[in-house]
Amino acid sequence: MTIKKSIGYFYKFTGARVRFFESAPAGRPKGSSLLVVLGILSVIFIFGFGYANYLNGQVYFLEREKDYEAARLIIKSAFTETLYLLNYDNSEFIKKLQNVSSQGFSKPFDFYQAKVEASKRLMKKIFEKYDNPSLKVWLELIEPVDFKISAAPGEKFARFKLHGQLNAGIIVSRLEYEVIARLSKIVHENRGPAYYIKLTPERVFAVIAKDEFIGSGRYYGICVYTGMDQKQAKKAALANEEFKALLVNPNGSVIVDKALPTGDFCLTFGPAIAR
Amino acid sequence: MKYSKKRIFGFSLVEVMIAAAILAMGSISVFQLFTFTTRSTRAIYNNSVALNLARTTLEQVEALGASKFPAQSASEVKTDRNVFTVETNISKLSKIFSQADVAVKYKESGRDVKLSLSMIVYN
Repeated sequence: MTIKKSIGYFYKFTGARVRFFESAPAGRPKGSSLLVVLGILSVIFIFGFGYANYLNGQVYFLEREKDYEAARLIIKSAFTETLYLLNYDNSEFIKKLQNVSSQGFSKPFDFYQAKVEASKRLMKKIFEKYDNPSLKVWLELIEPVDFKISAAPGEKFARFKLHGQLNAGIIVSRLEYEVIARLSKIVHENRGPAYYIKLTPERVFAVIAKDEFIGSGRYYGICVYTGMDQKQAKKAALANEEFKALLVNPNGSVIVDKALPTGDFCLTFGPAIAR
Repeated sequence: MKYSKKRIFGFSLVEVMIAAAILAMGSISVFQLFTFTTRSTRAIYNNSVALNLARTTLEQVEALGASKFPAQSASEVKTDRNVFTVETNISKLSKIFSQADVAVKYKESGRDVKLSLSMIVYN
């Protein structure tokens, strides 16, 4: 009844007659198809504008995709910076690692927060159009293995999750990598006048055969020199500012010690792997 | 209500005109939608290519180290639909790190578009 009444009003105001499901009896006006046309057009408009709106959304998010990629790259930059800082200037980190035992460890979810100044500057420059962009990189301790139960004496391994998060209003990006830290106690062995470093294959960061590699790479931890010219190797190590390692012969005798003063410990990180 | 026989079986001129007007409006909207879709597809294509070029260039710089790259360089990449200019600029931040900026420039509907990405890499 309501439909019939509506059709009646529609006819009254527009002059168009409409018929829906019932067939018109003979002699009765068949009416206009205007409403049917209107209905079809409404459907087209609704779907058409819906699709246009969807496309508009796609374009909007595509424009934001660049910002998301920029955010991802900034977090990756922050990871690079963090691992560099941890490998080269790690006294604070070593202290924290030393105090951790496998029985229990405090604040596992925020073990260490890295100070990534260069990445923060980069973020502020790129995301200046957004309010209060922030970048945070932290290490979460997953599973420590302390000195006593480790395979070799004076070795500690700890698995970390390396988290990075950039927040700039509607842009929020987060990356999670995994990295293994190895803290080795440098064991000295006195054999006559010279002192030797006890070497195990796992604690050696690099084995270097040619002097030119010493002069051109980034080294830390314990590095073993297997070349022929020790004097030249020492010269190359002293000249390279990025050589911050303990360079030893295969028998453990020290050629040059450029490791940062971190006590008797040597900290090395494995590669950061995306999870 | 009484209707003449003529009116029963036909459409009035007003009805036809209204229907034609509505149909015209609908058609215009639909054609505008086509234009919009074409433009959007082109924008999406250009943006994706530019983003990928910038990303791969930065990954190259990251893998090789900034010192292996010239401080400023430019190259051109041609695709079936557009020409993209990739400009790389490397500035030293410290003894250890450099900032690599990659800008990809291209033309879209007659206007210049620039997409840039940055990253901190080892020297």
